[in-house]
Amino acid sequence: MNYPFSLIFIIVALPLLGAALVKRSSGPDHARQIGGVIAGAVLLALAYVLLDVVAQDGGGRVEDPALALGWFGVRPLFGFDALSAVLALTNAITAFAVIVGAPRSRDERPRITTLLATEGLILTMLASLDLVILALAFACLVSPAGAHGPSRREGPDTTRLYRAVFIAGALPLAAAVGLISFANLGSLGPDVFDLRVISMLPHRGASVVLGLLMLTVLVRMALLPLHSWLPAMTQHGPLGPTVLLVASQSGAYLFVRVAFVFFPGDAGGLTTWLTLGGVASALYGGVISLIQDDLRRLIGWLSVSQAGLMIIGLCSLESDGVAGAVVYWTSYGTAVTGLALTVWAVQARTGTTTIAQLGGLVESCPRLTVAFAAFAVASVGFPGSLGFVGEDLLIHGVLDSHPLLGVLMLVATALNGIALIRALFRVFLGPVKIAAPADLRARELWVVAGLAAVVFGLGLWPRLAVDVVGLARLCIHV
Amino acid sequence: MSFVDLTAQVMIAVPLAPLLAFVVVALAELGLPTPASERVVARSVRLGAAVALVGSVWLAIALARSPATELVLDRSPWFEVGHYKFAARLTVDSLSAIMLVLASTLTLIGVRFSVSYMHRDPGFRRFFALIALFEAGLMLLLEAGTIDLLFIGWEIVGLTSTFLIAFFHGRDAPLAAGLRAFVTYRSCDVGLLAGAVLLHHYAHTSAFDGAFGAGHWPVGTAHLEPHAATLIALLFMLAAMGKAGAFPVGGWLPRAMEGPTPSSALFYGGLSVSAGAYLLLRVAPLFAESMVARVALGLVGVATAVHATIVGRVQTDAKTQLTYASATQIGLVFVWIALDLRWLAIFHLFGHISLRTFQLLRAPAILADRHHRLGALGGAHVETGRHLERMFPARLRLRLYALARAGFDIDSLLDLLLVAPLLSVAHRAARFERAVTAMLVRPRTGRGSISSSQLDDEDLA
Repeated sequence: MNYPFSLIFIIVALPLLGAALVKRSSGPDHARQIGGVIAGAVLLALAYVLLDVVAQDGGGRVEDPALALGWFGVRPLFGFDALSAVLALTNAITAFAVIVGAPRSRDERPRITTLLATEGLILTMLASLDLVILALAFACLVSPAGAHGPSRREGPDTTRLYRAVFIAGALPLAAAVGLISFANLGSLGPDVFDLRVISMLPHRGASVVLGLLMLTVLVRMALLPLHSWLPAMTQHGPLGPTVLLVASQSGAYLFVRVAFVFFPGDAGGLTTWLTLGGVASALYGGVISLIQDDLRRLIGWLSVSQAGLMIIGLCSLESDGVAGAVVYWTSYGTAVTGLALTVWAVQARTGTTTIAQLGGLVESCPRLTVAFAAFAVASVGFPGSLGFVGEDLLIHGVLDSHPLLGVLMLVATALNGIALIRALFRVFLGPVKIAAPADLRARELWVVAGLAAVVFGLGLWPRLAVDVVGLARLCIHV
Repeated sequence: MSFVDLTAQVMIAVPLAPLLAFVVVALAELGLPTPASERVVARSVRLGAAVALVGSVWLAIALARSPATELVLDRSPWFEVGHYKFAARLTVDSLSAIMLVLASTLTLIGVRFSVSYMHRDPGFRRFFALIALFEAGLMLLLEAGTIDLLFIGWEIVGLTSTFLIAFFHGRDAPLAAGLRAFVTYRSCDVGLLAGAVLLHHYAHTSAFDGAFGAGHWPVGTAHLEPHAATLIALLFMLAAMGKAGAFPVGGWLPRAMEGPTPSSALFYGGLSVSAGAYLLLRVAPLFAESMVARVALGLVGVATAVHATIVGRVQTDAKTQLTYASATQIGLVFVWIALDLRWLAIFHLFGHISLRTFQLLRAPAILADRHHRLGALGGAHVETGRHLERMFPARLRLRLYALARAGFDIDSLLDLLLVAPLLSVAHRAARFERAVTAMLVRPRTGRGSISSSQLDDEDLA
């Protein structure tokens, strides 16, 4: 279905426009108002788009009107299918929660600008029907955070970190896209960049392209051995954009949108290597998170582990495994946002996220404690949360076909659960080491409660989410 | 509404009533500007527990009157993808009916006892919320008609158990005890989830009556390949060992006495640790198919009983002694299940849970009871027991005493063999990762890792 006007382009451009407006805003209050309104409007618009997608028979695609692109024909540049619409909505929820629910600072214009720009790039990546636009948005995802924060005056210098992540993600992808174009330009003609039809046309892939894509996916999903940037970024980088990056799982999206398209079936053997990387990441992240002494770094390691679990599901090529991975994708994104918001609140109140310096926060922050506990159990798939549904599907899909992998996944989830409960006990319970001046404020509480309602509401009544994800699963060419 | 429809509603109400009580207490605690009064909290939870008890009795009567061997409520699927369906199926058969009535009765007694025992405790509302959630999880576990639903109840029981052990969180010891229990649960639960998925894989269903379809409990049989039955039975055994505090992973059980006495009575005196035995009884047809699994279970049962009875005899406080007594009996129940004596196991379990819960609830008044008893005996104290000790020569008895005081160092051995190597790997990896991070992130002189702008929280100013 085509919209009569460029609705999707407007939705995608709104956060980018908002970022520009926030930069020129008159003060922090004005910036917050712009950020909140833009993020809320995008969220509502994406909910409408998802309803539109689901309403179509079998979950079709909604597209912007076609544009005349010269030699590249007449085709739309933006559109959503069930998969990208679900992921876009999840991302909009995450962005809205972080913009509205994060602790406030005296001048947060740079923070809101970064968040809106990152959201805009993620949505551009998800909505793009063109390989080049997708690749450009994908490559630039870390740029706003690298350019703006953390504040250049304070905190450690993360320039090298962002530069490394940008180069490691962008270069191999640029090379892969270049090779794909070069190899297929003659046979595919103007359709070479059109993601809608490219999967249906005979095209040529090469093992070099496969290797480059695998490198990009490993880097952006923070899978072993190219994982170390993520814990460093969650600890030292700006938390908001990092959470958006974690929730978007851009590497996984690239994998299902490009690798599966050019190398159908088992993606030219890529699935085997990524499965190995996933198992190693899930276990390594789980083991190392057991001894983490920093809450922000702990979130980074958990994300490494969870990304490993997710890629195993995607690579299982089983219907329930792939569906489980997509449910996990969305549920972990939402749960980790809640977790990050609570950690951020702890940092704003105590000035530290070092676990050894914290303790007994429940005395001064009972609501914050409950919120952390709820998102901790949700992020490791405790029954009642959407994560449980994802984990159940994921493990059924994998254990059926690869029993050993399934058991290792269970071990990884057990380790993640232990790490989070340990953190909960040491930070929030125990003798009081540090007192917080206030519990969660009403604004923060509403946002956290909203996220919890999504995670646990869909966990208790999962049929709606699973039905939509069932449509999204069909968009993955496995 | 017909009797059958009403019974179906009752099946839903049994776990739902305590769950609603939990939700009410939790929302009141978090959402109200002033905390709800003890009376309101206690009444809510008591009402939930009472509904669960009445419902359980109703179901037991309905089962007795019914010509069928089980009551089934199937609202499947909860969700489905492709060929996979998560069945929402509640089942009440003779095993679950007995356990439902027992568990709901003891929980109601425990709740009533706690109203006085926890009076004016700062954690009064938290305690009752956790007890209500525990009962909801336990009722779901007992009514579960599929292994997947049982897993949900199992996890809820485990998590509430962890938080109740760590209830007095102002001290470090309860936290360490709670964390130890959680680590054991979480590690052993890998067995339950893996077993559940494999049962689904081999039997093509996760429903108990489907998997063990040739007859209903206690006479069901599992028609699985011997290797599949053995593997699944051993995985379930691992899960049961964790929850029941069986040898060698039972080190968390005596430490769990750090929690409030009423929860100790309900959880470790009887109901929670018996969930392990219940799981084994539920999947007993699997053990009947596999001699390897039966031998393994029998050995675990004997080791648990022998270890717990020896260690329990040298304990110096009543609650810990009772805990070891509980572990001893659970070990024996394991043996009965290994011998496929299913009815004996359930009778033993019933008696053990009732007695142990009563003893643990009376534990705070043990001195008063002793004085009453001595008074009734006219002041004369009749020395009994020590039969087992007398079987050993004096020198060996001393050595055995020292070993028993240390619990035969089983925990230290497990730490040495499993925990220490894992943590060693983690520390080495963390050192390597710190070095990598140092290459990517350079500190600025005199600045920490925290952006000071994040500390200028206007809300807190």
